[in-house]
Amino acid sequence: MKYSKAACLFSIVTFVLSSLSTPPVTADENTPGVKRVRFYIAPAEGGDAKLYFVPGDYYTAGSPTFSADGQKLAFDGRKSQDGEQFQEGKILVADADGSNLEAIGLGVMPSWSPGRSRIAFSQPSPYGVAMMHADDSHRKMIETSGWGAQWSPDGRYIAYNIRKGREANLRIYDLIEETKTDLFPEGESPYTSLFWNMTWSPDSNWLCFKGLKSSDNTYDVATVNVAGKQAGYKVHYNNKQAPYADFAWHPQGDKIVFAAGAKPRQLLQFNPAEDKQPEPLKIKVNGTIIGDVCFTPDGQHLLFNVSGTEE
Amino acid sequence: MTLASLSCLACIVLCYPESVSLMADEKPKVKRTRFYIASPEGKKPTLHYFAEDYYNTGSPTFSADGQKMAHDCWKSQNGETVANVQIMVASADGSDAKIIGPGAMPSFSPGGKRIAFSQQSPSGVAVMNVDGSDRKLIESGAWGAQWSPDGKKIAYRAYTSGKANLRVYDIIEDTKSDIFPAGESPYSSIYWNMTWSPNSNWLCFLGRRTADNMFEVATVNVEGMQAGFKVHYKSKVSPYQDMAWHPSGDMIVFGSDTKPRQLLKFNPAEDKAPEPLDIKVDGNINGDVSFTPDGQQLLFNARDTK
Repeated sequence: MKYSKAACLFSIVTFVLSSLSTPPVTADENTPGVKRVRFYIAPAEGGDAKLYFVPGDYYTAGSPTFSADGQKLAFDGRKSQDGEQFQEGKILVADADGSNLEAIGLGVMPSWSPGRSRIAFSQPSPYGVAMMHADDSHRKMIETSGWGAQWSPDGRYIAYNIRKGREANLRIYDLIEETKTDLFPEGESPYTSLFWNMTWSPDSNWLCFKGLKSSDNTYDVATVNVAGKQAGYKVHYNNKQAPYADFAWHPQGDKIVFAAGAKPRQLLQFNPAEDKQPEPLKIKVNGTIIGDVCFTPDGQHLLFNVSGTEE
Repeated sequence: MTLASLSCLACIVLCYPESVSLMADEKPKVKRTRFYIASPEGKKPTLHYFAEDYYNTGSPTFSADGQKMAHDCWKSQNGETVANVQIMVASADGSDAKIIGPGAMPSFSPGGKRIAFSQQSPSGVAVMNVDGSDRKLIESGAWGAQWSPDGKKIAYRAYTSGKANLRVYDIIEDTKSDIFPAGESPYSSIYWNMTWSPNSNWLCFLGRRTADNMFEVATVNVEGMQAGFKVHYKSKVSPYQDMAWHPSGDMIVFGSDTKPRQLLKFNPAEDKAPEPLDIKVDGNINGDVSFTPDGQQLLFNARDTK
């Protein structure tokens, strides 16, 4: 099991690094009563979760995503234990086993280009969606007032949400043609808000997202075709209580995972091709599931974050 | 007007649809180029289009949807040279032709919204919107940009360590990579108007060897020389610098090194020498070539003989 080995490797690396000057695990890591975020990994079909990675000095961490080749992991984080606020959030990159953790710059919700040379992300100041090289160079704003950039698996598009008046929309930036198109025709978006950390289908033809409906203030989890609403749009889940805003689409295409709003938070799964309600993904973990999720590129495992005081 | 002259006029109108406008000075003082279209094998060539005010036209290319064509041009009849080269975009039938700005060797993005091209000043390869706006230099000093069919890459010639190389700009990753490892390019020159394979995995180009000054038409894998490199044609005299890869992938056409010039074809998967296309056209074949995106026709240019 690739990632079980990776977890073992991480333990070894952690042990070695703990003896050196730059430990990824801080001194108070195991101090009872200090809450922090840890990343866990579980089989894609659920089951027992294992600690995968402790994000160093970043006690708040989320939006994890693996590069397509499975070699790198990116996520956002901040030193909440030191009082860092959301706008001080940084994009962090590590090897897939968690080693060589590095804060590469300000920003949140990283999303790799397929070759992992670049990262699309959102930034609080100046507000907008942007992209940069993976070493933090060549920062380039895609659109001010956009949020929640996600790079398509084929690399051609970056999707994000945009707001015009009381109407929220999904906008697609085409890197090849340098065009921007909205998925809901003007005046036809049913949403006042669209949320971040949406996910692309593996074939780059669909997006799964969370939206707040204008008509009744309930929340939808829906999929929409990248060619526009008229090419395909389906609501898979509707609830008065907001689900968590992070989605993971399994590389095989037949499963989407997200977290329900009710607490303690539970991960739900559904097949977008079926008309069934999402069902719980049964995972045993020692801590509180936050809801940030991503599959490993080989589809074998699900990575998610957990808040807890100790292992 | 006699019946005979009416009949003659009707014939002219039918032979040249409204998209192809004949000028009053149809008998030019300077010989002009015209675009002809034929079957992929060169059969039944007919006049397709010529640019009224631009007697020198070349590097034709169609947009992937077959709706537009682009080419470069200059007013050779007014003494203009390649230094004055402009890019013209027209509907595929030649109507609505419009100059969009200075540049040479246009190459459409797959959606037809943008064009990669080469420019004289500042010298380099660049991209712009199809209306000529938003020009952006990709690399100064480079030449012969061609957009891959999948849209993700733009290939061009660059020089490294005094040798000519093929450089591939990855639009998605914003990276540049050379096809021949540093110091291993066998070419002192690599020429323009190379062509991509339909699957965007190969390039066919004309190069001049450092070792013996011979010219080669070769294909190389876009992942690098080590992933595939094959010479298909060699000659002491340079063939023409324009290649067209048929959309089915099994035929490449280019202009011969002979005079009068012939168009030659070969299948890059076979080990046979290129063979001539049997084309009979009223003019001297120039050698600029492009297949229509449906693969049904071959566009080429010829210069008037009279």
